[in-house]
Amino acid sequence: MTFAGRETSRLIAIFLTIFLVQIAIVPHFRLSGYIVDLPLILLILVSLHLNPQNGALVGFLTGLLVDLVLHTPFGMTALTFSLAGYGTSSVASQVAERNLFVRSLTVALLSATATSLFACIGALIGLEYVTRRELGAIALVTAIAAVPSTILLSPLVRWVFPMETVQING
Amino acid sequence: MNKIRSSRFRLALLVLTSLILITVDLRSDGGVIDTARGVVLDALGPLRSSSASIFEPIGGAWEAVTSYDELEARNALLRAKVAELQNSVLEVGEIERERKALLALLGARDRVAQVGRRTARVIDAPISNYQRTLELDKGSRDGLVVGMPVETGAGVIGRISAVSVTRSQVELLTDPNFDVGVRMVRSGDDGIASGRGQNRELEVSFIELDTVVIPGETVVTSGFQGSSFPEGLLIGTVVDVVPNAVQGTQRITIHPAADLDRLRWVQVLLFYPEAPEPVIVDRVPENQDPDASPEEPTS
Repeated sequence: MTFAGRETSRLIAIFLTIFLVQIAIVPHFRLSGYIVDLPLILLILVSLHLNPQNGALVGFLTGLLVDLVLHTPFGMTALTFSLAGYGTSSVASQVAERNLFVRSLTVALLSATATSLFACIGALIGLEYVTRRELGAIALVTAIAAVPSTILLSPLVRWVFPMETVQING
Repeated sequence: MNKIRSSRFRLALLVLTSLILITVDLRSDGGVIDTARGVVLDALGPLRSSSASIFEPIGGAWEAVTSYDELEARNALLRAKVAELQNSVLEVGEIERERKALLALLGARDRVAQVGRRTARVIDAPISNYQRTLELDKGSRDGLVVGMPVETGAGVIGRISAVSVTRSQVELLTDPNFDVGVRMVRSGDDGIASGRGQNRELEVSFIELDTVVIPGETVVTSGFQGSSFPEGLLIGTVVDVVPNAVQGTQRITIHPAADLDRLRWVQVLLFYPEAPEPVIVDRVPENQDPDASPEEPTS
């Protein structure tokens, strides 16, 4: 699919809104001391409606935005989100027609994988942010939070993509 | 097939761009990226401050509900710690005397006491699970610059890692990027302490094998020339020592003296490594509001 102007502007609007929610509200409501990554969950939900190259591009731009407010090396979130967007869009055809429950589980699995990927990239460049145990806890919290987040964010995503327009590989 | 190849090519381009950005950020000291982050920090500061004042109490209630067991355990631990501190309060004066004597023996100037301090409020906690930073309500207009040490009454908590006009970020000493030159008070040997991640102790390297290091020993900053930390700031205490006969060194684990959880107020040391003399400020009346009195020297 190509980005129509309306879809693009709606995408920007929901990503900016979720970004502001993430920095202003989410850190105050932790689960077992860990922070839920809403932009990542939204990216994965959105990427289910995109082709891989657009999924990667949306991931990259979202990641750059998040990188602006993090202290981690600039570009690390962009790299992780690009790969997450690409990977999610690549498997989108398998889950696009499924019900909300299956999609929630898929988003949970992909979110946990993506957040672990971030830690792995950090470890590759010599920045060991968390222990394996903590990483497991972060992945678990992200996965658990992804299920209700998917249900809550789905109406927003349907607003961006009012018609089901999934096309495999663009 | 061409579309698959094209999408992979675009992904490769994005990955390459990300890697270049990461490399530029890791290798540059300041520059466009830091400026952009400073602008965003300033722009979002009022939103984060106001949201913190609204959501912090609600978040506290949420935490009480979701982490009740943990809070109970922490409460018990704190009670035990209070009892322990009451017993050891008499030892503190002796330790301080010993510390000063050792510093004097080493021919060092106790610069810490002379360095001006700026009291700052922690206005926001990390917004990512992989971030070890705090945000302060003071910035460059208050005289803060990148690299300045930050401490509480208990010891060092980190250093200023980014400064905008009205805000600044503190890199906690548990951050894997954090390194500081340290001195073992008992032996006087110097090493490098490095962060190893959240809820993990610090590791000191470059301490020779024949140096006697005992658990409980105090570790302070060494204040090497050019270091962004003055000499004699308390970092923590030794909890474990593992000799490495192959490298001829010891791997020493230290527990930070300051509690890095739930920080509210901190002090930024107005220490400029390049300055020939430390910044000495006038004494501030004791009854003055710490927020209203930006500079607060120690005696």
